[in-house]
Amino acid sequence: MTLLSIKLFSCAFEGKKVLQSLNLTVEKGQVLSILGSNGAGKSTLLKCILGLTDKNAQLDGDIEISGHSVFQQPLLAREQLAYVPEQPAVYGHLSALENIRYFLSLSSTSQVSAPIEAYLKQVGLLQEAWDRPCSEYSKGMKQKVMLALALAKQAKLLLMDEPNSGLDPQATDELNQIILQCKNNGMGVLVVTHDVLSAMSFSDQLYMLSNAQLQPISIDQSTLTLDNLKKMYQGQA
Amino acid sequence: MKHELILLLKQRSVLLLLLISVALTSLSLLNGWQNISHMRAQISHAQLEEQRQRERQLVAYADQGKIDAGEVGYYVFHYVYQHPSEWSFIALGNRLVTPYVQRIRLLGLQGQLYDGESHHPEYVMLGSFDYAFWLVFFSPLLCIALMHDLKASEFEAQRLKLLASLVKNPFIFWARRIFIRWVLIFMTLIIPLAIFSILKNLTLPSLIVIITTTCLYTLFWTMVCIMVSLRARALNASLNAILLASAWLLVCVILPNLSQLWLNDRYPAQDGSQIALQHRQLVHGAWDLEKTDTLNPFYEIYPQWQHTPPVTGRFHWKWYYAFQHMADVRLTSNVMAREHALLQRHQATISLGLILPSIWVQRSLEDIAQSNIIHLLNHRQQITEFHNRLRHFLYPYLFEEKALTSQEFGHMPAFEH
Repeated sequence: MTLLSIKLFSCAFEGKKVLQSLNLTVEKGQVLSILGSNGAGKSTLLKCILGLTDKNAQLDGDIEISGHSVFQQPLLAREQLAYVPEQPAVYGHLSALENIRYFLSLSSTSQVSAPIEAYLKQVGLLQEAWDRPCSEYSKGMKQKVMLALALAKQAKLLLMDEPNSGLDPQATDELNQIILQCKNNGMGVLVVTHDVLSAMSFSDQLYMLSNAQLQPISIDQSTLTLDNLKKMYQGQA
Repeated sequence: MKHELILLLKQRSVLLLLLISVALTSLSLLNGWQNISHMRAQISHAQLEEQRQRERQLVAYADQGKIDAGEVGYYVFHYVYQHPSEWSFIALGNRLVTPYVQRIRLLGLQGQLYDGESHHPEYVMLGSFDYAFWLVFFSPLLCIALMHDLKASEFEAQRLKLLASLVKNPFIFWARRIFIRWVLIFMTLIIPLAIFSILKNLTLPSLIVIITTTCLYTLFWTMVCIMVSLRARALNASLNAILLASAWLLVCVILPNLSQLWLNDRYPAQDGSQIALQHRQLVHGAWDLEKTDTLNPFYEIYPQWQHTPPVTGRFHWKWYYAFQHMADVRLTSNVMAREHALLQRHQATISLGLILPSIWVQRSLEDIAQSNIIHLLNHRQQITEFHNRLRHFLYPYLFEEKALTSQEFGHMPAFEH
């Protein structure tokens, strides 16, 4: 089942192509990672998938989430996805439980299948932290809150922007495990990241976004050398 | 809505701000009430004093038998009161700078009327901390504090994309956020007001008008905040705060002050104290005039007293009261011009209120509090009418040189408003 379908999608600002004729699909239970240098257009692609493009952007092609076009049916499309930003944007003065309750109150998910506590347990957030204000949390703990929100929202597609940036190795490992757990639960996951090693550990497919285009990368340890990566980042491969 | 309320009220700074607003609203009401209570106490005290004085005079004059009307006119003071209305505490307005108890004698009225009109510079500069002052000047700052960073705070916390990915309808989302903030601000203003009006047993219709005025004014500032903090590029909270503070400065301070300057320039009015001074100069000048120079014009106005016993000797009460009154007559055009200018200013203020909400609120609350210029002029008119009644009561005794009996003295007019 195709959860995300990007069809010949192009995006330009004032005539300058940022994304050009992209084609990408994320299936149920599949994790895809997109690598790319700073300014390659990764965040623009995420914004486009969220349907939050600037008014002056020239768009071509389409992006569908579970069959709903993000441009034609943005509300239906957004209902299917959960977004975890690079900086976990929780409200610092609210607890994890209050944050999730608040964010769920904004979304169309009026009923959750399990108590919020169950999702917090699932992502491995320690119980003693649940009622503490999130301003006291580490970045990893905040990421877990955002992931618990994604699970509570029962999203089919999970979009993650640089999920590992600023995390220590242990927190990175925990996060990678949660991503795999989401994959095993049948979610589709699209990760935009710089962390090649992590991406290799949980991704079914890696892509490199360079020169406004997506190039698939083989997850083969022997071909994915530092030199090759450098060339790919520079758009020479 | 419940979650939005939790989100807002869990912020200590917001809670503190709202509590401060409740405290200051209550303080403004209490301060206004205290001012008015002081006025009422002073009026009661003066009424009691007047009654005692009158009783003492009655006893003294009863012993005396015959009473000289000239002496009654000169030595007997009559108290006139500007009673505060039920809701005067809401906007003290002109009450702070005009006397609420005055002692009037048969002497020239204008000198007595404007004698107390020396404006306290501190009051004129700052006004008093009453509900109108709090509402006009500070409630906009409350709106600005709670609404300047609606979008910017989310952008700065990098939450805007997350929210956009979650909300079903951005319009409803922002409307709900704004509505909750407005309701909380509105409540901090009207709950103390409503409790106060219940405790003091005040009338409902005026309360409803004040609540409506508060509602409309806070809504106006909410709209201003929306225009600034939800505009497309409203992503810098500091810039929004500066823009909104500038709007506040313009609407609440600069434009009303410029309007005041324009009104003063467009409709010039003599100061009351100037009229009092002119009156005094006319009265002093009259001592050096020939008595006929005063009495002939007086008899032209009151021919009924022309054929009464002639004025003899160096001093005569008839002549004295005639030149007192003629000073009033000579200043009539000045007084009328002043009152006309004040009325024109009032009318212009009403028009200005249609475009400047701060002026509209101040004027509306002063209307309810009966502390505007119309009520002041009405009060002056009542004093003038009373003074006329007093003159018409004593003139027959004065000009026909009849003494009053103590019984007749007891029927002297009293100020009844």
